[in-house]
Amino acid sequence: MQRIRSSSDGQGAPDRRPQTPAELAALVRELSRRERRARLLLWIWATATLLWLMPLGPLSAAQLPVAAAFAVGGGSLVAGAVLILLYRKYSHPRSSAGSTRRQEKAARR
Amino acid sequence: MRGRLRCYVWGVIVAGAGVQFALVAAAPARLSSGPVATALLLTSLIAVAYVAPLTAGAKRRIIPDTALHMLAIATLPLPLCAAAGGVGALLGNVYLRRPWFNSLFNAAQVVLSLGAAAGIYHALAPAAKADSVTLPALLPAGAVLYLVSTVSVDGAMAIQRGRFALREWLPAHATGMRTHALLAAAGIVLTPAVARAPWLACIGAAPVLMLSRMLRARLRFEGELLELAEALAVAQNPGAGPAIEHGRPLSALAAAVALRYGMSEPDSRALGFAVRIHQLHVAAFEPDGSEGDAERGGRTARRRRHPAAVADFATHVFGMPRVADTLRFHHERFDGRGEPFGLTGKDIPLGARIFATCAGYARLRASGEHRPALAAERALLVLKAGAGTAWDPDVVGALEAQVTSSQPSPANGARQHGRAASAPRAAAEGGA
Repeated sequence: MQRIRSSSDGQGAPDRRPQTPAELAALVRELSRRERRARLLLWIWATATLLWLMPLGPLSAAQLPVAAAFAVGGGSLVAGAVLILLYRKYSHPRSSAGSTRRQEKAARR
Repeated sequence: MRGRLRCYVWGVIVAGAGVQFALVAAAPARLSSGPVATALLLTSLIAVAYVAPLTAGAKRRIIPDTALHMLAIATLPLPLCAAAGGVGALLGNVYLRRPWFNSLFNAAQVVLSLGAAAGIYHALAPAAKADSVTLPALLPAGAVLYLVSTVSVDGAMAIQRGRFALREWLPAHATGMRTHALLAAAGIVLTPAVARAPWLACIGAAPVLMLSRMLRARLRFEGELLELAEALAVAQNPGAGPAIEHGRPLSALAAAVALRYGMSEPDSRALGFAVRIHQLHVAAFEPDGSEGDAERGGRTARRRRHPAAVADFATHVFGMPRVADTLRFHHERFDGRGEPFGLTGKDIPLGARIFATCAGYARLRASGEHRPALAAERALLVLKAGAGTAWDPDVVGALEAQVTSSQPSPANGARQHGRAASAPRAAAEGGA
């Protein structure tokens, strides 16, 4: 995903705003797809962690030795934190696509 | 009445404090550090549960404390169990800045309900180990927990309303009972792991908290994405601005009517997004029907394709398949003479019925090519005349209630009228 334009970019930065409806649709589709992918990863992590906590089998938290459960649980928390950071990055379409506030204001005037 | 309520609230508070002191006094002099650590952990998690409830719909927030209460009942000695619940509830209520008597009442009723439930559990399973679940004892304990908790709260509401509300206890709590049972089951299932290593409760809390935030985050993302797409569309084609702007009040009206009709808050917001996606599609992605295509057949074919095109746009571009049906059927009529499928009555999805009704109202309120904009009252009269044929009568009723309640003064009505009247007719017609 190429950045369209960042608010910190100078005046000389190339303007990569979508120029046609088809380009706009492609941009929106790409942003939406990235967010959904990040959200799916978070759902998978949350479901897997909750299932692991339930006493469903020999690898569940209740059955593992405490040290192993500590390692797996800690790893899960770390993985969750990474996924949440990933999700936060992709759940802000403006930051993914670059700010267009200046152009919007100009267009509205 | 207020005196009776005050007496009742103070009675519950004093009873809760008395029970807690009695339990502590009857406890062994020294408690081992393990249960105390577990109690502290569960106390903080119960407080967090109050601070970050799960959102399950309009004005429906679930505090997942029942699962933690069941964990406390199964893993902690009686005094610590009641104390963990009571202190956790108190901390959560204080953090939320609820009135002090409200916080104390909530904490006291938790102490009473947890004390009763844990008492039942330990009476039925006196030799139960902390890391094993004695299901026959936990089930009645969960029932007592729910019973004492709801009856104590309903007692206060009955006094407030001045009537004996406990007679309506079962219908009033039928939904809450299912939620309570699910949360209690979650607590029971998690008990062996948490009893063995209490810190695992934190790991269980992390995904639950994250999932509760996820729905809100998704709605925020969709809103931001829509804003971005609208801004870029206007930057591309400034002529699309008025039509897109017109979608905002229409979207707000549709979401408000949906909420009033009984749709959940996330669904109502999604319906609002659907309206704005529709307006964006009409303004920026559909060729103008008035120019370059005077042939009647071409316009008809395009009008027939429009619902499917907008539904595909929402699904494949915005990644919102849950609003596709709203858009696919928003040209249907209640009597079956709509397009493109001729669905009738309640076969038309609720979102589509609400969208069609609100779009019809917006069209009447906007000035047309051959007629002026109608006042709200007259527009509602037209809608009521078409209820049962063009529009769903129930939705028209909800719309009327919404419009009536949102126009407390003539000045407000005039402002809304002006906004709608300034919108171009084509934009409103696109939603019909």
